Amino acid sequence: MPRALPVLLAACGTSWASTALASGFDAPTIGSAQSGPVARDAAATWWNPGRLTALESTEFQVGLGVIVGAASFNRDIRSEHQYEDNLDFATPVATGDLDPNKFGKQGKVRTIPVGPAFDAYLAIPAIRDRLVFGLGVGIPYVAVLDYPTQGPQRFAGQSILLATPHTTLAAAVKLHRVVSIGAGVSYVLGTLSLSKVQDFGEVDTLGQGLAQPPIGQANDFGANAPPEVRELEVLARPVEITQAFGHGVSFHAGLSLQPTAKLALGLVYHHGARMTFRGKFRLDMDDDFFTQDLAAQGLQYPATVTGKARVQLRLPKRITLAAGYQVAPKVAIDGFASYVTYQDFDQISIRFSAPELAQPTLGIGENVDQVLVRNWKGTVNTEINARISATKKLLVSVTAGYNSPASPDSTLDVFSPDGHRLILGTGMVYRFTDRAALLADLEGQFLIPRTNTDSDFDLGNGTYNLFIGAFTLHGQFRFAGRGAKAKAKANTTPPEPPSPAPATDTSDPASPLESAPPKAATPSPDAPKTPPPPPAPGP
Amino acid sequence: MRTPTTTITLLRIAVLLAGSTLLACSDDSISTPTVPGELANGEAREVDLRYLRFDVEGFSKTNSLEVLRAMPRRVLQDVWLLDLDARPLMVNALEALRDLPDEDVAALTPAAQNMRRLVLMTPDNAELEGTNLEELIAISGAIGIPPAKCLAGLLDRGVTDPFIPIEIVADVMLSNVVATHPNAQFRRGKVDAEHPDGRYPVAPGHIPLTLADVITNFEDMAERFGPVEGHPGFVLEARGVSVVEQEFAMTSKVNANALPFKGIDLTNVDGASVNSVGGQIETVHDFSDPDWMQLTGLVPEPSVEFLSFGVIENDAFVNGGTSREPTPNGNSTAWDLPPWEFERLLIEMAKASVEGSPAHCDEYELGTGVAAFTGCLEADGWVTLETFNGVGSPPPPAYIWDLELELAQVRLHDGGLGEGEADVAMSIQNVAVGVPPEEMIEQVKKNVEANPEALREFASLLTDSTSGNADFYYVRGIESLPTDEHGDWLFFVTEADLALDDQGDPVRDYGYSAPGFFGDPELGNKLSDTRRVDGDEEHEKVRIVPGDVLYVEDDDGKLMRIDVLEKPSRSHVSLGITRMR
Repeated sequence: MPRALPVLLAACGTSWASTALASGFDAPTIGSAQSGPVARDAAATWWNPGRLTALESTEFQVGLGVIVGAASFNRDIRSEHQYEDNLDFATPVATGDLDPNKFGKQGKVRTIPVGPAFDAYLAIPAIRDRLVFGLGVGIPYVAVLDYPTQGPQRFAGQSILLATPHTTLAAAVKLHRVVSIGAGVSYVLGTLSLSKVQDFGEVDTLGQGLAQPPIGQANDFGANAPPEVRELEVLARPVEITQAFGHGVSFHAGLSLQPTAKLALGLVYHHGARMTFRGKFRLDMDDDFFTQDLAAQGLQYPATVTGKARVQLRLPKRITLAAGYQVAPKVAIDGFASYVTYQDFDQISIRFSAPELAQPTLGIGENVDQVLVRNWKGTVNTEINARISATKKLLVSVTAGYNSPASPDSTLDVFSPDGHRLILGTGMVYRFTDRAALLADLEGQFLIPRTNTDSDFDLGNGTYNLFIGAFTLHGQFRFAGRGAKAKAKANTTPPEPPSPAPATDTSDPASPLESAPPKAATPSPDAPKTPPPPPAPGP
Repeated sequence: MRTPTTTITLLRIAVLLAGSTLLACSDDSISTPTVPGELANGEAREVDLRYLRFDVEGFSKTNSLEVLRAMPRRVLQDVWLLDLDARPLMVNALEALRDLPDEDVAALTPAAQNMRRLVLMTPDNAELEGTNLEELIAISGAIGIPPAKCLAGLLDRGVTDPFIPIEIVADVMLSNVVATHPNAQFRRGKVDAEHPDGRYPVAPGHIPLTLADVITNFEDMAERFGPVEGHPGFVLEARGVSVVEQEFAMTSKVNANALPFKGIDLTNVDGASVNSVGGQIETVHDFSDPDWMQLTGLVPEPSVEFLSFGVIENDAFVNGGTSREPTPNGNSTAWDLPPWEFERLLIEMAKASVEGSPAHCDEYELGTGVAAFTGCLEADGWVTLETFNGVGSPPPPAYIWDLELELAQVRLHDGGLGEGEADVAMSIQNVAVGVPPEEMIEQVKKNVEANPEALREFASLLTDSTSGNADFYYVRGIESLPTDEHGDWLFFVTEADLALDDQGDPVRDYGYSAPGFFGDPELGNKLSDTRRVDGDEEHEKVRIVPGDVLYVEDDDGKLMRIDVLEKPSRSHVSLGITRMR
C-alpha cells in the first residue's frame, strides 16, 4: 500500500508561505488488499511489473470504493501575536498591541472528507511464460479536505481537492524461472483545487514592496515573518485555485524472484514525477488597504484579482523491497518495506500571473512567485499481511503497517496531518467461479495523535488527529488468454484452477489449502520454467 | 477510435466531475463585493467600522514637476512657501537697464530712454538747461568752475556719482510700488482667529511665493502684479521666468498614520474614507531631520528672461516745493500723489538720496578772492544758493528734492514728450532674481516649520485617500494617548474633510445644518463636542460604548439613528443605522 502522499497537498496548500499538506490523504488502496509487490494480480502493473509474469491468463480487475476520513486539529498558539485588527509591521510590537487572548488552545477544527476510490487494471500475457503486458488506471494520490473557512487553521488551508490518476502501461519479461523483470511508464493527469486564507504578511513580494520607495517602510513581512506580524486581518486575503491540471510522466521497474515454491521476493523502484499544475486563481483583495487607501503610493488592486496559477512540485521516488512466504498450506504472509524520498519535496514553486497583480510603483510585476520550503525527510513505510484460505472459495487477509512521518515539526500543519501512522486492515476474496471473484477490503489508517510545539512561526503548533477508512470492492475476471490457452493445449490437466498459487493468488482463494503443486504434476513442456506459485504477496 | 487528445479530455472531465462532487459542500470562500443602495425611511442596516493605523516613519513622498503640475492649481496656490525679497531682482533690473548696450538702448521707447538717462544722471552729465537749476550754468561760468562741481558739492558727492544711487531707486520702488500692490501686501492662508479673513501680511518689498509659482515658473507674474484694485501694477510683462528645471522634485518625509479614517456615508450607509494626514499636519514632519523636505531641480540662478516693468507719471507737471513747511518734506504737491506715480517716486528717491548728508556750505570765489557764490545744504535737505556781487540769479531756497524733481521731470520729457506721455516701461532681459536657490529652500523649510498648516491641504492631496462622502468616521483612542482619550470615538466631518475635485474644490457643499451627534431625534441634546482627542480639536466627536443611541442629520437633512452594537474586536465598532426621516 503506498504511503500517504502529503507532498501533493503540501504543494497546493502551501501556495504561499504556509504549509498546506495532506499527509495521509493519498489513496489508501491501489488495487485490492490482496495486491502488492509480490502479489499475483493485474494490479502488479502498478505494484511491481516484474510480477506480471506470474499471471498465466488475461486478468481484468476493477474496483470502486469510498474513502472516509476524520481529521482534526486543535491549534495551540505558543507565540505572541498582535491583535488581528492591528497593523504593526515590524517588531518589536508595542506591548499594548499584543493580543493576550490569542494564545493557547484555539479550539478543535474537524473535517470529514469523503472521496471515491477507483482503479482498473488489465494484464495480458502476450507470450506464454515470457511476456506479459499490463495496463491500468489508478489514483495513488488523492486528497480531500474541507475545513471551516474561518477556523484557526484558515491560514494553512480551508479546502483542497487533489487527485492524480496514473494511467500505466507496463510490460514484464520472465528471464528465468526464478527471475522476472518488468517496467512501466505512467502518464499522470492531476487536478488540483484549493482555498485558503493567504496571509500577505508572509509574502515576500508585499514586504519588499512596502520596504522600497515610495512607501519605504522597513518591515518584517515575508517568508520569515515572525509570528507577531502574521495573521493580521487586513492582510488575510482569501484565495482559490481552481481547475488546475497537471501533467507528468513517471516510470517504475520491478524485479520478481521466485527462488523456492514458498518464497517470493520483489524489488521495485518507482520514479517520481515533476508535476506542473496550471489553473486559475481568484484572490480576494477587497479591503480598502489594498484597493484604495495607499493608491497614491502605488498600492492598488482591484477587489478581486483573477488570473493563472501554476504550481510545481515533485512526486517522490520510492524503492520497495517485498517478500512473501507460504508458512502453512493455508496460511501465507507477505510484506514490504519502502523507502520514500520525500526529501525530494523540499520546496514548492508557485506562480500567480495576472496583469492586475502588477503594482509597478512598488516594483511588483504581474507574476508573483513563491518558493515554499518544505524540508521533508525520507520515510519508511512497512506493511505486513497474513492471508488465510478459509474455504475453497474464501480467502481472508489481515494487514498491519506503519508509516514514518515525512513532515518535520517545523513545517507540519493542518493540510499535512502527518505523523507516525498505523495501518490496520482486512480483506476477503470470494471466488464465484474460476473466472470471477469478488474482493472486499476494509482498511483504517490511524495517526498516533501528534502534538507539535516546534512549528516554524507558530503556524502549525497543536495537536493533530487523523483517521482514514477505506472500503473497496473489486471484481476480478480472468480470461483464457493466449498463454493460458497454449498451456491448456499442452497440459492434460484442466485449466482451472489455473494456478496452485498460495493464499495471495486471488485467482484461487482455496489455494493455501492446496498449495502444493500437484496440479502441475503433469508439467507442460514449460513446466520446469514455471516457478511454483508465489507465496503470500499482498499489498 | 479515440485520439489521445480525446482521451485526455475525457480524463479531465472525469477528474473535474469527481472534484466538483467532492467540493460541492465547500463554502465559497471569496465573496463578491456589492454596492448598497440608498437607505429608505425606516430601513436599518448594520455597518462595521475599522480603525487601522499604518504608522509610517520617514514616509518619503517625491513629487515630480509633472505630478505637481497635475494637481489642482487652487491647492498649489495655497501652499505658501516664502516671501521672496524683490530687492535683488529690482536692483539687478535697474543695473541691467543702466548697463544696456547702445543698440538695445536705441530700441527703448523715448520715455524709457529718458528714464534710463535719469538713472544714469550724475552732476557731470546732468543737463540743467530748461530747469530751475539752469542758472547754475551761468553762475559757474562767472566764477570759472564747472557746473558739475557746484552740483556735486551741493549734493556732497563726486561729480560722476549718480544723483540717485540705484539702491535707493530700488528701495523706493519696492516701498512705493511693490509694497503697495495688493497682491504683494497679503497672501492667502488658513482662516483662524488671528486671520479671520484668511489674509496674512507679506513683508514689505517681498513677493509671496507659492508652490504654484515655483512649479509654473511664475507664469502668472504679470497677471498677479499687474493692475489690481486701482494699483497700476509694476510688472507689465514677464517671460521665461526660470526657477525650476524639468527635473524639479519635491520630497518630504513624514511620520504619520498613512491610512484614512473609515466612516459612513449615511445616504446609503456605505463605507467611506476620510484622509487623516491633514489632521496630523502639525506632527507629521520631523524637523530634526535635515532631510524632512528636499527641493531639487531648482535652477542654480533663478532668472527672468524678459521682464518689463513700468511706472506711470502724473498727467501734469508737478512743481517742486517752495516752502520749508510742512516739514520735513516741504510743500510740493508731489507728496500728495499716489506712492507709485513717477513724480512721487522721484521726490522720494531724491529725498532718500540725501538723507544723512551732513549740513555744509560751499563757497566759491572770483579770481579776485571775493566770494561770489555759496551753496548750502542743511541737514534737513534745505538748499540755499546765494550769489554776491551781482553774479547771476540763483534759484530760490528749496529742498534739494524739490530741485531734483523739476530737473527730472524736464529731462523725462526730452525729445518733445508731453506731460502724461512719459509713462515709463522698461524692458530688460536675462535679469537674475538674485536669491540663491539654497536660500530659497532654507526659507521655505523655515516657513513650513513655523507654519505646517500651510501644507495641510497639499499633504492631504498627496495621500489622496479620501473617498466617498463620509458624514462621520471612527477613531479609536489608542493606548499611547491620555487615558481620557481612550475608547471608541465617532468624529463628525468638517469642511476640511470633504473630498476635492480635480480643480481642488470640494466635491460637495458642507450642507450640514446641525453637525455633530445628538441624544434626541429633535437634535436638541448635543452629545458631541470638540474636545481634544488624538490631537484633534476641530471635529465634533463623541465617545461611544455598546448600547449608546445617537442621532445625526446628514447633509441632505435626513435624520439617522445610530445604535452602537456589541464591539466585534478591539479596533472595530459595529453600528446599527436607521433612517428616521
